[in-house]
Parts: sequence; structure tokens; C-alpha cells
Amino acid sequence: MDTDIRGKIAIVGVGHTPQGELPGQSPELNSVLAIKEALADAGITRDRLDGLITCKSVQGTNTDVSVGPLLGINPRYAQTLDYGTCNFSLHLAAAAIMTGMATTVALCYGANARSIRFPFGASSPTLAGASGLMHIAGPAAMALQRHKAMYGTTDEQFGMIAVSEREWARKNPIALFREPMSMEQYLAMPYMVEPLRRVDVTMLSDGGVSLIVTSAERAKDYPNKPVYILGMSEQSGIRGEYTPDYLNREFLKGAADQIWRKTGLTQADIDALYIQNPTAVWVLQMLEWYGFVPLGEAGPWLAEGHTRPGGDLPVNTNGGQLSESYMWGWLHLVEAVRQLRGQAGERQISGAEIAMYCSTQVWLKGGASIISTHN
Amino acid sequence: MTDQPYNKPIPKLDDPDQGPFWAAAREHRLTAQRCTNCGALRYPALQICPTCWERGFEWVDVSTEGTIWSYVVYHRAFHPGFASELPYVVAIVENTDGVRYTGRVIGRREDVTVGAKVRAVFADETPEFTLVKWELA
Repeated sequence: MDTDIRGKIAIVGVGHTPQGELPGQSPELNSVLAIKEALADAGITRDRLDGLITCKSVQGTNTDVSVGPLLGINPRYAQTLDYGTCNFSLHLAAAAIMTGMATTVALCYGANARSIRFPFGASSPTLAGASGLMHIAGPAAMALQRHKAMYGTTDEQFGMIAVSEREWARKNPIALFREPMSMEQYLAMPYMVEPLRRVDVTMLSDGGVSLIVTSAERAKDYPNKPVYILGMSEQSGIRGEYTPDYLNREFLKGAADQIWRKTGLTQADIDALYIQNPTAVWVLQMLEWYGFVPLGEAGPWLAEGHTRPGGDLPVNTNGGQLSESYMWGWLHLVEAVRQLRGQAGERQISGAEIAMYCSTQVWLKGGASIISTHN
Repeated sequence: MTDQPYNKPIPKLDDPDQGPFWAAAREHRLTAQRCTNCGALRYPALQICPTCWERGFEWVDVSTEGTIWSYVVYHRAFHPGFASELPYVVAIVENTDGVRYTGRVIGRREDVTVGAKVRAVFADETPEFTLVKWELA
């Protein structure tokens, strides 16, 4: 069976709402507003859609059947992913198109967690919760502390992730955090959950994001340069805490091995790298597991400045989730598409032809996509 | 100083699956489930052994000696009950039977390191609830 996805599926539209506080706007409304933008970008109207894949909001709403009434159409294919982080949603859309279940699919995420003051840090009634291990910052800081102890990673090396993303965000008009932040300022900030500082962790935001995905044949008729999927992979770690050392997220190596093998590409082929990052720790880990640096060596490598504007491996050129906005990684893929189309304005990487997006559902699942305007 | 009511999260002590762990903690015992077929230990509780897929199990006492796999220091309270205890340390501890527990580490924060030896202590927080914590050995 031919399972090579290369060049067969394309992203033809991207759209999003403003970010930050959108009081009174439901996740479903934010989804539909984003779909409207993405359709406009794709140059089509909603009657061309025959598929919808929604990603649940952080509080569990924004399902396909709750977005449907606002969408105003009954697409042939409708699904919801619990935790889309865009890679999983994109992969499901590709599968639906490849199997003839749909031809043109809108993917969307919608959130209102900021304006409703969603209690993101709330603990579950477990031994860990009773002990005060709360908020994603807790497990992430646990993984970072382990990394520091094993490999000697320093605060200054690790801090380059947040500093670099801020440098990129300063060039991004939709980013929420654009004031300058030097390494000196970073190091002077107090710890929140040591060894993490506040700026190493994302901040809840409201908003919606959407992508329009279709087959390569159809993509030729769209106004924008199609951005093709060259390869995609996933690997789960769904045993969770029953896998020893699960916070190191070694299972991501499975997703990495697959995508490099299937595409025949190497790390050196990637012009722009996007790593979904509710915390900066996820960047540290994915740089290593995806093989951009050997295991344990991300710290010194980060300190050399490769990921910053002007560096040889730009990472999260939108400002990432630390400085742009917390959209579960969806805006990373929007940014990747804009970079490949040459529409990234002041932060445009010259000659960007191949981008990669790596994302996870905490320590439970991971996935990656490599995309390009060439097929 | 007057006694404050305990205002931190309390697990569901009568939970059919996890309850026996808390009942044992009340008696100052650290426990895990042991599969009656293959002998594998597991915690938190599961309704089937993930190693051999047999359902039989018993709760057994396990070692109260362990090593810190990693730890963090909270400088912010995400639950109001912890505000008066900042900064506080939480670690993942692997005991000498290979079972991992998340728990508070008490004692001098400066002495807590990855790899440090610790032993379980039992803090009677309320008349019904005892929390397993760890102190440097």
C-alpha cells in the first residue's frame, strides 16, 4: 500500500482572530471567526468545505457539534480531537482527504480561557495534587531540574529559549508580549516554579485559529502558494506516569525517527523550526529528541544563539507560546505557512523553503509535520 | 498562633481504587499494589496489571527508603492552601522497590538535590487524612 503522503496534501488557507482578551466570545465563536479568515485567505466560501475538524478548548468545549450551529453548514465529515495541537488535527485531515472522506477541510481551535479566568493551575485530588504539584509548570520544572542535574544545563543556557522567542515576538504585530527582554533581565526575574521563571511558561489567551487543507490537485487552483505536507509522524506515550522517566518524554524519539526516515530529509534541511511550547522545557527536549542537537547538549547549543533572529536555525519565529500567544501550538503552523509563502514581514527568513512543526500533548503524545512550498 | 483548618486539596479517601493507599498512610505505612500473578508493583492503583493483564492484586507495604529522581521549588501558590508554605519543595521519589511517588520534601531546601537519599514520613494532616512526605536521610 502506498502510504507516502509527500506532496499529496496542502494547506491553502490560514486565519486567526486577534489574541489576548476577547470578553464574551465563546470558543465556538472564535473558531468560526478564524474559519472565516482562513476561508478569505484561501479565496473560497464555506460552501466549498466538506470537512470540519475541531480541537477542544482547554475546558472541553469547541466540539464539532457545538461549532456546527455557528458554522451554518453540514459538512460531510466532522470530527473533534481532544487535544489537536494542530499536528494531530492536520494529520487527521490528511487521512480524511487521502481516504476520500472529505476533499476540503477546515481545522479550528477556539479558546476563551483567559477572559473566563479558567483555573489552569488547579490540581487533581491525587497524591501529587495533595502534595502541591500543580500547573503544567510543575512537571515541566521537574524535567528541567533533572536535565540540569544530568547534563549541567544552566539557567542562562535554558533562558535563551524565552529570550530568543521574545526577540522574534518583537517583530510580530499579533504577539502579546513585545517589550524587550535581555538575558540580564531574564536572569534577574524570580523563579515561579524553580527552576522555571514566569516567562518560561505560556500565559492563557483567548482566540481562534483555523487552517484550510485540501488535496494537492485542488490546491493548484487556490490563490496562495500551496504549502504541501512532505511528511508527518506521531508517537504516543499514553502509558503516562507508568513509564519510568516519562517526564523526559523519550517517546518523542519515535516520532523523530519516523519522520526523518519517511521523508529522507535531515535536520540540516529545515529552514525554520516550530516547537509547540506551553513551557520552554518542551523546546529543550524536542531540540534533542528530534536530533537537532545530541541528547543533553541543547543547553550549550542554545547559548550559541542558533535559534535567534539571524541564527542558522530560527525557532518559533512567531514568538512561540511564550511571547506570541497560547493557542495550543496552532499559531506555530500559521507562522510556518506564512514564512514559506514569504508573508512574514519583518521576521521573514530569506529563502525559507522547508519548515518543521513538532508538538505534543504533554507527556502523552507527540507528532511532527514537515511542510514546504515544493512538493 | 491558632490552629487553622486544613485548606489544601484532600484526595477522595474512600475512592474504591486509591482508597487503600490512604487507609494505609493513616497507619503510617507506605504501600503499592502488587499483582498476584506476576508480582509487579504499581502505584497509583490500576484495575488490571499493565504488565501481565491479570486483575488480581494485593496492597503490600513497600520500602520507605528512596532517592530523589527530580524536584521543584514552588515560589507561587496555585492553590490558596499553599500560600503560607512558600517556598515549598515537591519531588518525585523512587523507592528502593522501584515504585515512584510524588511528595513534599521537608527539611532544609538547600540540601535537596537530584539523587539525594530520602525516607518517607507520615504527616497526620486531619483526623482522617495522612499525607506521605519525604525527609532527607
